[in-house]
Amino acid sequence: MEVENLTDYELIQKCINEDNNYFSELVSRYKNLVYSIILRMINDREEANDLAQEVFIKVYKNLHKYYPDYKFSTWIMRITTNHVIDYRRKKKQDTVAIEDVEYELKSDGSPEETYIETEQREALNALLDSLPDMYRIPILLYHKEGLSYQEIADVIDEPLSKVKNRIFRGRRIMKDTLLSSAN
Amino acid sequence: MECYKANELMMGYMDSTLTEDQASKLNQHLRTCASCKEDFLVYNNIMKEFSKAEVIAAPPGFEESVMKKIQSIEFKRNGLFSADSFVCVVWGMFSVLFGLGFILFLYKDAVLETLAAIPYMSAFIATMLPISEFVTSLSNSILLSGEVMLGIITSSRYIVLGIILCLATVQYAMYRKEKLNKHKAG
Repeated sequence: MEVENLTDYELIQKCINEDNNYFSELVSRYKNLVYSIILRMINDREEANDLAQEVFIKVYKNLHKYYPDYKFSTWIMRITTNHVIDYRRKKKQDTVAIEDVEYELKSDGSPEETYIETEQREALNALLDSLPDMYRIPILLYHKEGLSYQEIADVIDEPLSKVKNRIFRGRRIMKDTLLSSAN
Repeated sequence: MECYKANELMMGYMDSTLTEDQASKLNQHLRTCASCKEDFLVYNNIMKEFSKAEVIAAPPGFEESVMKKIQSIEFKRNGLFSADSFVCVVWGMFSVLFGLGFILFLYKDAVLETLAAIPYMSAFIATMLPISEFVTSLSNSILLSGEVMLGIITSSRYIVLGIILCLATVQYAMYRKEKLNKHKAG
């Protein structure tokens, strides 16, 4: 059977019982998800790369603890968000300077439009970065990674109602900040 | 419609869960309430930006780096000088030396006597005798203090039993908590 056709759980079993090279397939399946969540949380490509590698090593070391009650993606996202939170706690780095944020914008608009778009995006990203993690992570997962409320509840291990409340409250904080900065 | 209700509907709008009826009610409210309309426009801008979220890809060569690190972990784990086997070797050596020392201590008089019988060794053994006596007196005093301790323990064995039970309970509670935490983390 081709490696690509194996399910995540089959791959994990093979990885534990047969050959750890099967892990490489799991890495290629989830590297973009893990890396993008981390990059959106810390806005530094090099550090995001290091942290993403650490996450996969953590995942590898804890593979035997995975139970298929949750999707593997949920489990790996939980490890990812916890790892970044721990890292930031250690570094005590709460916000990121806007100058450090890199953007890869593709726009067909005029240079002025592109400039305004970039400005807006930067402002919004900086605003998102300034939110406390409890609002920021659910908003990131919902609006940027496209997870459902239930999936987020599984990732951050909180009830659905709490997830909803946090997203609503996070949006409100963003709206109020934007309004007060405009006035 | 009250403003707080309109705000709830705006959340529904951002989640794309509004029914047609709810959408028209929200529209009606926005036409008459300037403050909610302002809120709505800001929310709409935020949503527009979110919808443009770019796809982020991991840097090239990512799998290779991860696999290289994993292979080195495996090597350390299986190698002769891995952390686990090092602890085992130290513990093993300690046990053997301690055991040998204890046997020598028990039979020290017999060993010394045998060695003293050898002509070349007698002078050396003579220098060892005071040390042997010192060790004997030391062990006697240890035994004495041990007896005193035993006396204290037996006289208050219920208290000791209570303390041991408490410690065991605390230990069990900690073990349960750790297990729960691990379950949560993994």
